[in-house]
Amino acid sequence: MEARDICLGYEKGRPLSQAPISFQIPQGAITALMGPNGSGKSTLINTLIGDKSVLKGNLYCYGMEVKTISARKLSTLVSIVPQEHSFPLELRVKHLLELAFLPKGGLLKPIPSIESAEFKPMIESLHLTPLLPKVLKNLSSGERQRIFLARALFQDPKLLILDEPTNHLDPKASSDFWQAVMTYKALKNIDILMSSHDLAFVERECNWILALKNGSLFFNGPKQEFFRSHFSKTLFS
Amino acid sequence: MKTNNKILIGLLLGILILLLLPFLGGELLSISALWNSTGPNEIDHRILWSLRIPRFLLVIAVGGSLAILGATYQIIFNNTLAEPYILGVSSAVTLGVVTAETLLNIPTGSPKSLGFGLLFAMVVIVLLILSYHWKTGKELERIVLFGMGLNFIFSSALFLILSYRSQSPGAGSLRWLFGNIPWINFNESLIFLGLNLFLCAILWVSGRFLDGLSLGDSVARTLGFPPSKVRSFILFLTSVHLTLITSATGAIGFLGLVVPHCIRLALRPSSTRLLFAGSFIGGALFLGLSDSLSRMLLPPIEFPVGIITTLLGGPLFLYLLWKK
Repeated sequence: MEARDICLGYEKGRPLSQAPISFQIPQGAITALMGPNGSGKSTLINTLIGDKSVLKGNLYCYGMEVKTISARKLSTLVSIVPQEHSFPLELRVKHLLELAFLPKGGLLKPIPSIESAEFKPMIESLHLTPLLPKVLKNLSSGERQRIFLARALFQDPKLLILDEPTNHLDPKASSDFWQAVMTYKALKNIDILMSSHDLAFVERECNWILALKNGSLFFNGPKQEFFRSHFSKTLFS
Repeated sequence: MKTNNKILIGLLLGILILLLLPFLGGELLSISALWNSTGPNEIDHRILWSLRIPRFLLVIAVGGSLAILGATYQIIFNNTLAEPYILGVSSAVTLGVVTAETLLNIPTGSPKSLGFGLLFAMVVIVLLILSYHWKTGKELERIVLFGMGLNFIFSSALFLILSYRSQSPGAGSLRWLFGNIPWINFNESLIFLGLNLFLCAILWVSGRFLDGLSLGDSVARTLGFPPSKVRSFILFLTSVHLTLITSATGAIGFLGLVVPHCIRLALRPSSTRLLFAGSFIGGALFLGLSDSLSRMLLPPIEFPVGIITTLLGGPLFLYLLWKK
């Protein structure tokens, strides 16, 4: 991912910050997107998935300018685990997971069943087998978060976006979740972009930091540099 | 496998009951009247083919469509309480049709009257889509509130016209307030059913979009379905569909709200398409039974069917809430 002189914002003519920002993130990184509330993290994520457009400048994802990526193409590049989940209350876990295959099915082709043999190893490595027939609404938030992760992974993305994924989770659920992410990362070497407020967690698990403050770039670089410098102390002050 | 069997049995039972409906009404007809056109059955045969069956086809089209539209609105507005009439499209249609009838003497059900309904509906559709694409972000709440506002305005204007009308002798106005099934001939009913099935089929195909939308806008986007485009398209399609239905029957309450919920609870459908299929049969059945009841309760009085659907649907809805 690369940004050249971009301005982020929700409304035309009202950027979050006047100063345009540029950054580059190496491939294969586990990037933590950090910053205080209102610093532009969500706006950046929304811009990356094409929900908002950059007010100025160019944002690139795998060499393609984001605004030129078609909806179809986007579905093969990026998948997301959003902060707030919405889902049909009566839906079963296996049917939710099958929605990951919607882009492959298009409007007319049938959608493969999640219970077919080719997906079995993946389901087992994510420890989802006993959850498949259950109704989503009745699960704990930890289980639910893991299922939404699985849905995003079954989409077979190059870039996985996690929006404050461990926010509502207890330590055990949180570590289960991250273990699932890492299992998959080891398998497919995807890029990960995760927004988070948890400094300790970020220091332990990520290797690249992109920090925003008031809509402008605060820090972009390897984790070691971030935590060695004053940046890690002044980001939230 | 077990649940699949249950669904199949429910489906067959539903279709069976549906097929019996034309024989119910002010008087019961024997099934042999279907093919027996001579002798003592002659009148029954005529009643069946020129009255009951066209009405039955109309009821299937309207009931099934309303349930599908209700399910659609619940998904695109991400709101379990959404139903086809919240946005003011149908009150605009009713206003158009009633205005044309009252002021210009254009009989309801004629193509001209439908044109008037469509004209009024178009105003609402354009306003709704504009309100959605307003400059600051695409907020769902705004479109729902905007639609509700329009709904109140058009409903009041409708009351104004109806109270003007009740001062002068003329056709009964009650049916427009509660929804009513008109008597139409066989060819009209076939055309009407065909149009509705066509629109339902487009919605059914779009079911995959709605599957995506039901997971929230950001997920839908990364699944390759841009939410605002999908919503605008669905909004346009459903508004046209609703215009077609409302211009024929007025607003039939509660069906679009209750039936999709019942289907969700009963079938736990794995996809929007399944929800649509179940809703169509459920809605047709619900409206069919209500319609038969409205004619069988105190013949020859024919109650507006909307009163019956609300009287049946209201308690059902409360029961579902209670169970939750």
